[in-house]
Amino acid sequence: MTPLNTHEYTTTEPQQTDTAPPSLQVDSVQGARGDRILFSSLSFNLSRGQLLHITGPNGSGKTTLLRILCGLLTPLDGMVRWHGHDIRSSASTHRRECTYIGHRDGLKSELTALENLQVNAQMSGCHDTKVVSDSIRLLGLWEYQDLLVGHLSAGQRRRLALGRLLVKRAVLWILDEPFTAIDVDGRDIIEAQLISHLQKDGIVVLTSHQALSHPQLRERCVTISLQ
Amino acid sequence: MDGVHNSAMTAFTTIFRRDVKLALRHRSELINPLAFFVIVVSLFPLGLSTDSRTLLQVAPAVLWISALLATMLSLESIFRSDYEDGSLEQLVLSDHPLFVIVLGKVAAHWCTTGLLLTLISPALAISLAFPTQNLGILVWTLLLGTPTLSLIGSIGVALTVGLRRGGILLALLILPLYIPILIFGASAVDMSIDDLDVAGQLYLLAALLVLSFTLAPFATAAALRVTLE
Amino acid sequence: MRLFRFFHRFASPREFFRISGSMIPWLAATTLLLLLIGLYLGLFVAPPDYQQGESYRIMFIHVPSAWMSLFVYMVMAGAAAIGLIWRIKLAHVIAMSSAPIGASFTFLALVTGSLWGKPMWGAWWVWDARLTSELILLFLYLGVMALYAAFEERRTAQRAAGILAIVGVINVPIIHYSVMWWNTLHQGPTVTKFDAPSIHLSMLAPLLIMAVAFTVFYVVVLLMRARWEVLDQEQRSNWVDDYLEQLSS
Repeated sequence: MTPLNTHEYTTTEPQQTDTAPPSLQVDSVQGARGDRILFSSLSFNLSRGQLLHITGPNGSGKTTLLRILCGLLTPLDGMVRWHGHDIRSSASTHRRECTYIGHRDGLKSELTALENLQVNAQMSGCHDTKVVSDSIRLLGLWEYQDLLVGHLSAGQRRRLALGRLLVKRAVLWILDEPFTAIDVDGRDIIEAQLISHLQKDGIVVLTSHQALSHPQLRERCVTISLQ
Repeated sequence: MDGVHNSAMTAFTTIFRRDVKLALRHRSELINPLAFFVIVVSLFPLGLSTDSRTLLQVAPAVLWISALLATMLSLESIFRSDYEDGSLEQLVLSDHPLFVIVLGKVAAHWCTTGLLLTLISPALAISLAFPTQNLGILVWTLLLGTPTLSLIGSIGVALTVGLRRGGILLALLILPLYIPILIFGASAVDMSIDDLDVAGQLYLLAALLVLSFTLAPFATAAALRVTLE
Repeated sequence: MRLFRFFHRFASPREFFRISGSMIPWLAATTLLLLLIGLYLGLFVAPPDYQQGESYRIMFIHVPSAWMSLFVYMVMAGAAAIGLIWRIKLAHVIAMSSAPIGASFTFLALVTGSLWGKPMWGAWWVWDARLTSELILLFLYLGVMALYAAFEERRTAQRAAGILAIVGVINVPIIHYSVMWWNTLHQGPTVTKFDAPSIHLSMLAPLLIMAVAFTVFYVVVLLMRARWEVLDQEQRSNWVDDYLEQLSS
């Protein structure tokens, strides 16, 4: 196994990081699937207002890294810190401030679009029905809100899954291939949300095979490519 | 502190209502365990005899074992579909204590299986020549026993949910743990037919329920965190 | 303090592999010696039982096996708990290496119990409370082993099976007492010869020696199993490469 040197900071550092300490610190993390080591000694820091784009071929460990960052997976070695604390010991703070959208949408096909988002909102402590209906409208699913999710298209389901980001006010967004199956309109909507999240000092970590198109995203973007 | 308590309660009711709604929209999954219960019980007169004394002799065991197997076959619905569509990892990552979510899911499972099995059990008991004045005890034992079956079963499902073919393995894991409940439940029904005092067994069933209620959700939560890795 | 340091070092896979390797021959010799003494005293020195004659002598295998079946389960669950709480890899290895050994002891207890029961009850199997408990214990062991074998990822397998072992250990006393209670209900007071109330020293001594022999035997087999498990688990480490090179040259 060759140790990977995976920091390739392809873009300039964002402007506002001069004084603020990094919020997310990844410290020589090692990730594996089975007996195969995917990456080791991976370290990077992310501050508020930054976007991390993880690239790499299939099987390079992008999803594994995201699952480590959100706390679903324990790294074989190394540590992930959120505001200076190990995310395993201060798991509840980290979970409260983090939203993860995996490659599976996490939607129930026997519930309607609205019901799905309502459950998600209630589970994240949001009881404002207006937030839910606004989010549905914003995602372009207003006409479909009473349809069972099983009857929606893959792209519509993906949009609805991303609706989680709008109903839970998390600082850290971790997104696994958010643009899969999504059309141009949907992509614009999501990129706009990413920009406004970053402008509000949020942090985004995402994997995507496509390059980010919006210039405002690119200027805040840091890229790591896994081999 | 009150706020924390409140939000945990909200999480419980949200999950409970979501799962009950899902079960109601998935009629077949709701009805299958009941149909299984009815069919298995009705196999016994066919395979054994229609003599009412013979039937009455085996009735407590038949009713209890059939209810236990019906519960076991329905257990996968607690976590399986949530695992497959990715909802489970979202629940694990939610900022509520996982054991509260587990309790909500187990409570919904019991209401949509164990409770319904208990409610139809008198009809099946009568078909096995069970004396009507003892139906109350049968219902009581099932009412106290089936929630424990769901609670212990949830540990088994949580441990096997990541495996493609967990069915038989699940049976191997949890049936040994079901033995005490079967012993106390079936013997209470059996002894009530002879007009013996069965308060002891009912207390023991209640004690097992309390014990599993306090411990099983934590074991299930720990198991989910492990198997979702 | 020194003891603590010893355990701390022992818990590192490499040190465990080294130290256990040097311990095994001594422990194996001890097992052999104790077994020979115990069997000689039990089979030749101890007098025949006034009721059961010579057939009771199977007790010297049966009773220690039954003890070990429970003891190994405790060790397994305890090690699993240590592994889960303090994330010690070696504890998981100890737990999972114990499972098949414990299952074998349980199986041995069942077979010898059934052999012993034949002259006593006139049947190979009766639903005696102790035998039934032992049978359920075997099911519990098989569950842990099956769950461990079902996962592809070793780390997940160890932890999942560990949780099951802990759930099992809470249930063992409950199962035991419920089966005892069930047995008195259905069979009335059966005469159980498995627990002689007062036992003569000439019988007790070989029994205890056999129990110690079985325990040391367990430790030997456990260390042997755990060593290969550690080697497999650490196959990416340098020291394993060095060891294998040394072995082949």
